[in-house]
Amino acid sequence: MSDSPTPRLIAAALAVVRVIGVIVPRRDRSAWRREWESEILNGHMTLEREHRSTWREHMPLTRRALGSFLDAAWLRRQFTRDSEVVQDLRHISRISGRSPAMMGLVVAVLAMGIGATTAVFSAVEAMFLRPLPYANADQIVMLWQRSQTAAAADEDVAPANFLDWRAQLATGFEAVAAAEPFSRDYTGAGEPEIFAGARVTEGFFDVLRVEPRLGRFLTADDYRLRRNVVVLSTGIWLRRFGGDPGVIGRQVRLDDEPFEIVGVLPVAFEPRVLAPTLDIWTPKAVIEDYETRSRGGGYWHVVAKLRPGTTLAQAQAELDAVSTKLAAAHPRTNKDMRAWVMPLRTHLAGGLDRTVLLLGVGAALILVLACTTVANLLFGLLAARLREFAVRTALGADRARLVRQVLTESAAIAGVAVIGGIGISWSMVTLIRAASPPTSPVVGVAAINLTVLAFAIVAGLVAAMVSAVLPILTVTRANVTPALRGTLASRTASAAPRQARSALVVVQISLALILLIASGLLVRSLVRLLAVDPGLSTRQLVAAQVFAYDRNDTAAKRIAFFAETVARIQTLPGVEAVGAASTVPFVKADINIEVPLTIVGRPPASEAEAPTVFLTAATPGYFRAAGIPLRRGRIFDEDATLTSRIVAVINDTVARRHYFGEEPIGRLIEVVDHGRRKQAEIIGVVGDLRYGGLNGQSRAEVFLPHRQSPQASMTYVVRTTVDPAAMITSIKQRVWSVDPLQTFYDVGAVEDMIEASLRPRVLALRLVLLLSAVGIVLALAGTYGAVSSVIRRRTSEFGVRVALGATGSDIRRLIILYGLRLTAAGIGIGLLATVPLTRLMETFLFGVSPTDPTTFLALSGVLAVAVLVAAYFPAQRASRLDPVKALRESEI
Amino acid sequence: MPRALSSATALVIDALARGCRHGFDILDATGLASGTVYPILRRLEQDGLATSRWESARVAQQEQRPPRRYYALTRDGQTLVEEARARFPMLTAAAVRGMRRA
Repeated sequence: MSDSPTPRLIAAALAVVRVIGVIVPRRDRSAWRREWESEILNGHMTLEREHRSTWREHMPLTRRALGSFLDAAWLRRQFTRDSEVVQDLRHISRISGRSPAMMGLVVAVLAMGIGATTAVFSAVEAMFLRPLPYANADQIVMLWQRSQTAAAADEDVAPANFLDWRAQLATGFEAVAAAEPFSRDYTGAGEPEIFAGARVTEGFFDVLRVEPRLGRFLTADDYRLRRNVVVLSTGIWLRRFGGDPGVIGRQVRLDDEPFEIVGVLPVAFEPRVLAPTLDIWTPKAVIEDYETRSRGGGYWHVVAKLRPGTTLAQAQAELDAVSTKLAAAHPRTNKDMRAWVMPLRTHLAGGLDRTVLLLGVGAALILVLACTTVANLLFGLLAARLREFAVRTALGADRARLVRQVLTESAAIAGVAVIGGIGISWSMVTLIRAASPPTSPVVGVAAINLTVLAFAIVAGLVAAMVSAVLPILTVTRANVTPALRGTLASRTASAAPRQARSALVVVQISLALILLIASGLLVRSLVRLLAVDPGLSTRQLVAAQVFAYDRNDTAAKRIAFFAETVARIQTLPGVEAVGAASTVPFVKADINIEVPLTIVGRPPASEAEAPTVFLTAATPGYFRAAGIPLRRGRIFDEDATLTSRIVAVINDTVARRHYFGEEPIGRLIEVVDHGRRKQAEIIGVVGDLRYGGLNGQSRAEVFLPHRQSPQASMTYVVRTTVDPAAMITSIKQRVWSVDPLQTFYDVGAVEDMIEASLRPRVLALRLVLLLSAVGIVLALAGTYGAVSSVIRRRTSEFGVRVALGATGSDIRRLIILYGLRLTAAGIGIGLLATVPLTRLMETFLFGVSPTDPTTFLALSGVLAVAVLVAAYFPAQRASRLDPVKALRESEI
Repeated sequence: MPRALSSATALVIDALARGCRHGFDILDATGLASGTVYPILRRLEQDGLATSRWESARVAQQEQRPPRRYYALTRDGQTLVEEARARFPMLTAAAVRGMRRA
């Protein structure tokens, strides 16, 4: 038999030992390896000496080498058992086994704190920390125009200003491009739909450079040849084109024009520019003549790329120079107009709204609350082990060892809490994303990623360490000897932990009060809001907003279209009444047509004070369908025509404002409608409507018959006798039976629309309610615990007092006084801290001041009573103390 | 010795008493697997029943091999030998069989 395999076998056996040696604790590792290697080599040499050098003879040696694993494992286990970390962890599992409910509560609270903070952080991360998807994102800026006179905000840019900027900005700017918001009706397979989009000038995709997900972006040829090409967003590509890669090159009809799909944008691009999310992007190849003159109000978004090395200040200086030139050239519009440069990231962070801020404060509060709770609990656990510490100190354990032990314990708690917290934050992020309006797109991309995970872990560890500091310092400093002796002295000697615990309870009470008042204000706001009368009856009402310009370009066609569609919807089973109006509360697009009002026969006031009204065109059935109450007179009838005498219905506000104490019916008013002065006779007065949501305002409103004021943008309102949501499709189909290409801008049950408008408010309320419930429970538990521990510590003292003649009620009074002091301090601090914090909530409040005294006082009272009740039970127990037993117990 | 003697431990103690000094010699003598014998040796050493020391490098060099680790029973360990043999009468037979295999 050949000798050759055996050296290889031995080499393999030695390698095995080397690898397994990793398991052996470091201090024994090299000796361990040497021992095993020498045994194997000796065995090998013995076999060689005896000429038993075959493969078969060497096999037992190899098997033995493998057995070294058990040896190494044994050593490792032994080592681990000795190490203090493991000892501490065992200790924790023993303790938590003893009080699993308390441990569970601590972990849950800490997890909630970590979860809330992490969720908020994920929004911040999405806004500020995540790299932007564009190439050279640091060089990308947004340009705005801003009026110098008023305290005006940044404005979108007027087309002519953009054209001049693009022509004149050369030194520090590499490219300047604009996007004009627009929309087109998509009429392809399936329902016709409005696609929101932007027409972008040449070079737009060079400034915001990303890789297309499919196909290509717009090229110079597209602009030169004025091609009808379109780039899709990923969202619309998935939703309407089934994510089919074959869409590239396909023709689609947009506003009845053929367009070729040339590319699909990556997901990362979409939510980052021009909120809300856009569906389609097409070239703005032609600048219209009016656009070269339009300098007043702006509606374009301008992006620019700075040359490498250009600072913001240099860019701003160059813009200022251009602004000065434009001011001289066009003094009427541009005298006070300034151009303004803003880094892209600053623009995107504009989405950091009050919701995030409020949530951030709430999360921070609950994290602090979590820390105080954990600290309080550690106090409890440590105080119970005061003797253990004392014994160990006496036996030579140094303070550092005890500190390490407590830290390990809190780290273990933190570890479990972090896992729970990540789960909580994940569901919170999902919740926030679902509830955030499409106008805050940055919150929409918040997600739990590695950065956020790292944050959660660090936050958890820091929280655990912070919670441990106070208990560690007080407990390990406690005097050893009395604790060991376990005498009366030990109970009074530990005054330091008691003061620290009292402080924690005070903090808990004040945090609970802050959360309680915040939720109280939100609840009151919601109650007030739900009590608001919107002016129409919202139950079983469907609203469907359409823009019917495209195929109804004359007044006659519009009148016919709406008369026909309303009539057809009327015949649907389940429809009680139907009408249409140019403006209806709660639909997505609020059409405001505000015109000057002249009351015929009354001298016009000065021009500055000329009254205005909002004009609404309505079909006769609108008022009944919407449930708007008729106060006086009558509603339009069906026979009004373009040429007959114009009639008008006014609302309460107009009647009150202009006909105070007079009869408005039969009077004449003059308004400007469709560019013409029209005189109308008032035939009726109806109730006010609120626009802009439940917290909106009512306004002076004049209704004209649609037949005499033929608008193209109208909203159908349909009163149903069945579930309104079930009617939506059949209503759409009735409209399509007249015009199969008609799109719907917004359609749904009005109650759902109201609910959607309340959703952020309800979400904020739910979160704050949840947090305050947790806060109260913790504060009460903390008070109960603190009072109980005081009683435990002072049992012997009470015993002496009772023995010397004090009554049970004296003892009770003593303890309740202590609880009262805690309550007073907590509520005092809480009230002071609440005032600045509730101001942050102002936008969430309705009909309630952020410092509403009723809410503040009532909830302080409620909390005070609850805390005193929590203190009362242990006090009651203590008052029934048997002095003999108390004194005897104290000698243990 | 707090623990009751297991048969494997008894075997190892017996082998040490009969002068087996190296790990693999004990394996040969007892017929036990290395994964059993070594943990026993470690525990005996930990409990103060056995000691170990390294063979002097000079001796090893003379014999042209790496130095080996010696194990020996301590005085306390010696007191266990009789107990081990008494409790497991089969020890001698097993040891003989082991020797023959080596």
